[in-house]
Amino acid sequence: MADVDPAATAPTSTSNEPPPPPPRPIFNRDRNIKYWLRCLRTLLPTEYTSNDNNRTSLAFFCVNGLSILGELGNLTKPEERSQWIDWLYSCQLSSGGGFRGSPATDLKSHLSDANRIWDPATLPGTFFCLITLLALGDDLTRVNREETLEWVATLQRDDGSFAEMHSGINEKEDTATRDPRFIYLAAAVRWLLRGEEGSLSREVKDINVDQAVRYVQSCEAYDYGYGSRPGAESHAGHTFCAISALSLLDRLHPPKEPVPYPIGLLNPSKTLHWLLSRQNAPTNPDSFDSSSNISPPAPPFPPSDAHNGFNGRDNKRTDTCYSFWVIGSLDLLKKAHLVNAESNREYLLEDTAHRIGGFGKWAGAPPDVLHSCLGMVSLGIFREEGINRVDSALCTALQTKEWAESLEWRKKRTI
Amino acid sequence: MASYDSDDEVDYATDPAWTDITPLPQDDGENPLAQIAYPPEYALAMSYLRGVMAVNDHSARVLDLTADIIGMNAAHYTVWGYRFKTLMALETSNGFNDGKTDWSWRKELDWVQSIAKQYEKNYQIWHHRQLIIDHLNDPTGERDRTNEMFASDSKNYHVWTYRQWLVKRFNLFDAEELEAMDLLLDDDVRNNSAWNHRYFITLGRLGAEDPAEGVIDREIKFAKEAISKAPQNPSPWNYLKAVLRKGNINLASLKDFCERFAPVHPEGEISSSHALDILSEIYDEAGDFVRAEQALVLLAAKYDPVRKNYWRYRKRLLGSDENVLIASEKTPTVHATA
Repeated sequence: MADVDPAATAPTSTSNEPPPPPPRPIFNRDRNIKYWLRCLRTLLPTEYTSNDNNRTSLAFFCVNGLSILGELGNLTKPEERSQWIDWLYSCQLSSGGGFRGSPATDLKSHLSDANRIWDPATLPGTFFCLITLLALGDDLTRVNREETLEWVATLQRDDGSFAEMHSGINEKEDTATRDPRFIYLAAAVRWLLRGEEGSLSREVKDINVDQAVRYVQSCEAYDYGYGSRPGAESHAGHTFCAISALSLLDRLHPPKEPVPYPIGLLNPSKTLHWLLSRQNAPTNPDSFDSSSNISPPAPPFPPSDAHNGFNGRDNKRTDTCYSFWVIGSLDLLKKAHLVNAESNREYLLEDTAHRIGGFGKWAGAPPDVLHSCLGMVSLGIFREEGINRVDSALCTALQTKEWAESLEWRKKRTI
Repeated sequence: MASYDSDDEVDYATDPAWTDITPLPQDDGENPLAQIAYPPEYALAMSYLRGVMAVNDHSARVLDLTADIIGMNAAHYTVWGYRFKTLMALETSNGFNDGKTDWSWRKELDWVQSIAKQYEKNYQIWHHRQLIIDHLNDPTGERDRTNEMFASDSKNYHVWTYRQWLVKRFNLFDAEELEAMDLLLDDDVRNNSAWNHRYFITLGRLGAEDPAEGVIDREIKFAKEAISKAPQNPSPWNYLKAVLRKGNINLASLKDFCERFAPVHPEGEISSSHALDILSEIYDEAGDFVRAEQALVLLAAKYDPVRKNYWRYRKRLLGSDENVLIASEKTPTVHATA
């Protein structure tokens, strides 16, 4: 029997018909499951050493990654999850509230009042441990909740901003870090631990919410994005932190009637414009010397709307993580439908997705846990097939947020 | 010995200088998350750092140890903090002069600069520098140092944050600063960081009085010239709009200028989506909804198709006050210490 040429049986196209569209890219779920299992069960490569002080954030990305795929409970053993929970609790300080960012500073039995300052609780460490515990199904009853909330309040400065930690360096107000990241993390820890109407902790000192909102508002730049402090350049990461902080403080959406307290973005329709302007054509790596200090070449004009990811600032390259920082912000503003979601899919699934699973920073980059997690959450906001529903403010599976909301100790007390 | 940078290989386990310190190896427990394949030298140095921190040792050898670790992990904030505290302690106890300590704040700053060039995307380095310059209360040479950094990465967010702090802390809102921005923008007119800094020094000064005579006009001219060179560059457009607001000048004053880059009626050669965008706003405010819609349709169909959903949304808003959902409190009442 003669071989049949498959092309011969395909419908022939006449020359005046447009070529068929390329097949729609798919999210390769199996490959991503394998990637996350590898990250959870084997050593992370040496390159992660520069993140040693933030290992709890790496833990969050790894657990969260598999959780968003809905496979954490299916593909890991109960003993493993229980050991991971114990490891996260080992990062909780024995007194004073909060979690350290990494076991790297744990002085164990050598800890004393004289050296305690070198093993501080940090806002990132605390948020990442809490949210990862929840993703693993823990109910946070082993957390020193009231002490942690009181510690968070001590980190706030008069202007409303937050310190990352009590660092042991006597810093003046103007040399200290004060960007919206730490307001976001403080707001998230407060939201997780305080519960509805402060039911858990009516007597526990709260943060000054009004002042925190005013500080966030003061970080609006002249082009209506938000920067790391008043006067700084707009940056999509800081803009996400500003918007999600307001959301977690329940101060993002002003009610119809005026209220006597600060609320909302100062110019929401202009910030919307800035956020949507982040979607851009990728830079052709062949036309761009990445070691050059000059901006990547301007895309052709009129531009193409194919494979458009997101950048973090004007005239910068697109990068996987900004697909989350921007779309997550827009989701919280209830405007994600204005994004060109299909173009973002093309960028993530055809350009930055890696053949061993996970996502790189941009095309050709190796995958890492941050970009892999944020790339998936970005797709999850648009209900990508194979990815569970997500919550933008906490950057996690919706299931994890709902688990937090269901905890008995967190609910409003009825007398 | 006593170079205090990371050039010398030290084996802490055998070096007699370290025999009095008990190393504290990291205990990760039975099945930790996010365990990293540390280089063995890093794991050993960290054990000694924990040993040093446990006894609050702030002697000169700590400069060697922290430099060694920073050479392997420049983002280690605890190490930087411990190093700063040690430098302060050495200065207080003997002014860096105990006969064998050969170090100074200036040497520290030179060393920091060499590290900064190796690890460009690092925040801790610039924070450390900030603490030192604040302590010395002397910005001499610091602008040159940041300019050196801009020569290899002119958009480094951490370096710009440091530069802003420097300008504010030492009141450097001067001609030299403006000239530096002229040079950077001359080199790369699409450098949005330089545009932002230009605004910061010309008009964005927090708590400052009204801008000096002529500044608004000068900046409008500057932005318009930049736009004429590269009309599709968003940075000078955003800058121009901000300058107009600062000068209480109506956006409609840009109508003729924008129509040069985006003739809508009759439709001519369009060279800027940003001009079309602004024109749609100007026409909308003037009640010319036909042209406003035409500008938005051109954006969605051809000149900015990736944002077609947004331009259609804007079309639906024509004639309405799209800023209805403004915040209840218009002006932030708190600024970082001005």
